Amino acid sequence: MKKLFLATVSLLLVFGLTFAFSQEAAQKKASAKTAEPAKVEQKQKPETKADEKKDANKKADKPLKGRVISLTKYIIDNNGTVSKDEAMKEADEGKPIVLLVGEGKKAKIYFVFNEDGSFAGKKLAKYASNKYVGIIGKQKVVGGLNIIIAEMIESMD
Amino acid sequence: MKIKSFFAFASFFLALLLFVSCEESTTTEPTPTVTGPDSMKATSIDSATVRLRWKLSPDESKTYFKDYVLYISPGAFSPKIISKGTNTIDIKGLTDGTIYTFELRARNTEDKESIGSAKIQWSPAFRFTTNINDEPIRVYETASSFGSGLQLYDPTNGKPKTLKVASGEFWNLGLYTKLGEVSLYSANYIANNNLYNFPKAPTWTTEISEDVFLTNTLDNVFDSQALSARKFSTNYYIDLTEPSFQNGIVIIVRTKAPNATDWNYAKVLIKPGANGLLQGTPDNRYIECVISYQKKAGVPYAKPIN
Repeated sequence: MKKLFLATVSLLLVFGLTFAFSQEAAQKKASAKTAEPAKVEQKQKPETKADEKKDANKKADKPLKGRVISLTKYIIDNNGTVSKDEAMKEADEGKPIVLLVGEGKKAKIYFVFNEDGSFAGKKLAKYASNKYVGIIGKQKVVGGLNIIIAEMIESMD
Repeated sequence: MKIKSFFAFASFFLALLLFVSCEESTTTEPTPTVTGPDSMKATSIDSATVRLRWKLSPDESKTYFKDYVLYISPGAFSPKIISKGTNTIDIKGLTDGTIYTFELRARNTEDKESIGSAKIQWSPAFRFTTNINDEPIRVYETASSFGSGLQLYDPTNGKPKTLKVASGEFWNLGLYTKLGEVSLYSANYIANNNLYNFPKAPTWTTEISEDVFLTNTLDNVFDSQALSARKFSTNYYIDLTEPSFQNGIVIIVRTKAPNATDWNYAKVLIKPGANGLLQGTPDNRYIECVISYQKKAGVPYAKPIN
């Protein structure tokens, strides 16, 4: 009886170990949907002022949208467009890579910093080939300079 | 008389014994051929590396079992000797898009190869852990101002790209998080059902396989059959709230360029976060992906040979 019990336990252990070390992914089936009628978003007006406030708070998370430029080039050609490679080279050389928000007379230049206080020019340079970039973070004006402390930087193409 | 007979019998017996013992010392049995390995599977590690896995020969415990030998073609690959007990190996120095044949045989102590072998045809594929901005590949929820669409491979920048609705024509997959739903759809399904209002319909066709692999790494998803043998549909979708998915999943996707006849195949890992597949905080929650992409159309990774 004891032998039978031991044999069963050993067998279970062997199976367990085999499963644990097989390291192959188990499979499941994806769900399938047949073509359905179009889903229409149900828009509702906020019912109370509290709801309006919540919505306003949500908008505070909206990113600052702009394009990545070279400040050095912008001073010369009033455009500042650079490729990703050029921007990364300039950033390595210590030249400022910045965010241009808006166009023409309303254009503002933002100096972007990381949360640890370091200048985020090198990180921003990776987005120079994107049409638009969005930055979420705290905005400040220091000595007339527009600053944003970036929590998130993402493409907005 | 009795003594003479006894001596005669004893001499005859001794002679017979000597004869038999001499025979035994000079005869050598041929070493038996060993049974070959079986059930070869493969997965792409990167654009130059394929990982192979197989079922060991049942004769490994035999004293005359020596090792394995792996043949690779096409290309100038010398046969690789693999020690017994090994059932996984990474083959490096391969070229993306080339379909290689891998054949593994077992050998006995006389270097005689098994008749049976484990075989597979496979092609390595590119592995992307970052997007065109050299940052993690993230796809954002519907409420986010960032992109909810994923282009598996942007030929201009040579990497995957996250896109907003305005660039819907380039989407392959889209994350949809409305009305309590958290799902990943093909861009074609999204367009057909107006989940997002694309200015232009997606130009590529994208289909999702019905198979979902429960894993947190692409390296664990081995195949023994061509990916084209699986069932695909633009209508398959992934419900990312499924409890069994919370530790990560791999899905198989294929895309086809306009007017093309062949598909490009990809495997997409959706990495696990602290609380499931959706990471971050509202309204910028996201899924993070790693993508294995076969740039060459019509190469569905694997073709088994038997």
